[in-house]
Amino acid sequence: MIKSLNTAQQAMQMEQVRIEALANNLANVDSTGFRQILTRVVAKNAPEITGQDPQTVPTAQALTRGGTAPGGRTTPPSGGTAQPTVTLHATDTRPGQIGPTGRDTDVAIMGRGYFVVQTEAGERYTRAGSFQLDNERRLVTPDGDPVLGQGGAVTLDGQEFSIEPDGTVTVDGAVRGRLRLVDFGDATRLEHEGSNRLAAPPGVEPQEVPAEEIVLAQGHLEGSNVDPIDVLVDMIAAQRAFEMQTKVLTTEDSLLDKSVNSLGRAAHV
Amino acid sequence: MIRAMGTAASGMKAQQLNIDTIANNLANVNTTGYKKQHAEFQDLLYEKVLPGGQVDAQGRAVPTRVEIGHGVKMVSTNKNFSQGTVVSTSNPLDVMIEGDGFFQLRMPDGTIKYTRDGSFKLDAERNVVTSQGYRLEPAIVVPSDAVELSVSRDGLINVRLAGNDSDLQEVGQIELARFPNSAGLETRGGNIFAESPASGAPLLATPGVDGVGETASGFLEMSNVETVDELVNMISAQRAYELNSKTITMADEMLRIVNGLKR
Repeated sequence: MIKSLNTAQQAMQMEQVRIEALANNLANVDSTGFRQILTRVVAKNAPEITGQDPQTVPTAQALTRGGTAPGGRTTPPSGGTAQPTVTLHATDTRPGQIGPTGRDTDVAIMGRGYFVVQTEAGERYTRAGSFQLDNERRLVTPDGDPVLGQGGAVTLDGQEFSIEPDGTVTVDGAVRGRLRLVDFGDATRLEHEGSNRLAAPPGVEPQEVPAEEIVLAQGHLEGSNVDPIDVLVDMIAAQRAFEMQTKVLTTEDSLLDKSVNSLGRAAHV
Repeated sequence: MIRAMGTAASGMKAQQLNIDTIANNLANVNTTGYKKQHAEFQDLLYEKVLPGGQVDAQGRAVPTRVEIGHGVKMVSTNKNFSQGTVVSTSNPLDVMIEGDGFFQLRMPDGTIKYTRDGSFKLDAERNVVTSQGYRLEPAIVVPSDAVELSVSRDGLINVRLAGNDSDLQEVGQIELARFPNSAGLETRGGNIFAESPASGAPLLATPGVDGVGETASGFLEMSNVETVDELVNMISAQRAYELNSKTITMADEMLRIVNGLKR
């Protein structure tokens, strides 16, 4: 009985974490280049987490018996078929909408790739091309971090500059280099750092995008890839799932109430 | 749940600032030399409840992570220095800069400020001044017997004196200032900008030289606000505001359910 209380409690916490991720996505519906966080609630022994072949994952029934499952995992006998759940977060890699802005320091990536930005904590990646010039005329993010080209920070000290669709930077007609674009084997594992920056966790290596695959659009910006309809529907589903768990709690509560108060009284008679 | 409400509140505040910026643009749609602003948003810090890349007991990298964001912040209101719309006034003292650059103004406290507003007048001492009375720098005085005034494309101001029909007398030269990063200029209101560490030091040049635009007399540069863009942005800001209020309603509803669990 207490176990189902714990199960309901855990499920409620998972839905709460889910709502928080959805609320953050919705708050960032206007953030440039924002990549929303997708959430999925899965069972704790799901193949996505343990990395096992789905065929060998022990079924709920095997868990209740306990013993040794394929792969050498021993599990103690559990009182019920309950499998604790966890929330998985992944970064949504779909592009946002690209629109013209008329500012010549804005750049949008049409297709795959991420800009590389130099921060104090190392290289970070972003799709937010809302760049500016600092007082040394380097191309920087709104936080002041330089955008990296093939040879380091990009300085646009001239009267006119342009960023060609293949990433080449020209200042007053002379080629100055090329902007660096990187891509990842599994970009869903990129972590959000805030300030529109994404960080690569250990195990996720950036690969340089070859020059012939770079397509940039100067004077354009990519918006957020949050779809408000999806987010609201997910929120409604999470809220109702939350409500269902509270029903489990109240049912368990009344059962406990019966067994503690009523059964005991009957014995006295 | 409390965090979701804070996150949604940050979203609503950000959209409110967005609307404020758009409203200011629309209010200044007919202001001479006004440069439109655009609000830029970024997500806030994330709490790593479960960082990615963790290694489990068998040495395998667990591909899961849980990171929770805290909402959105406005990071900058960029000024867009594209050329504004052109209005022909036939007033020779109305000067428009075609291209980059700013007029320099000598303020009453002695400092130099900058403007794109070229609607100049003459004050009581015949100095060339702005509508608020700030003198153009370098100062230019128009003689009292001048009957005609013209400003050339490279900023040279010539007058024709009474009784002298053939010769033009040079009265002064307009010098424009150009900045490494115009978007970093500080806005002071009154169509006036001030130099700041973000903008860099000004480079002075005569019109048409060193990347500075040419002066066009008899024209005024109006604002560069595009009303269609601003209205579309306003609609989307309003809807984003509404969406975030839905989050608060939902979080509130869930809290109410939790409160009602135990009577």
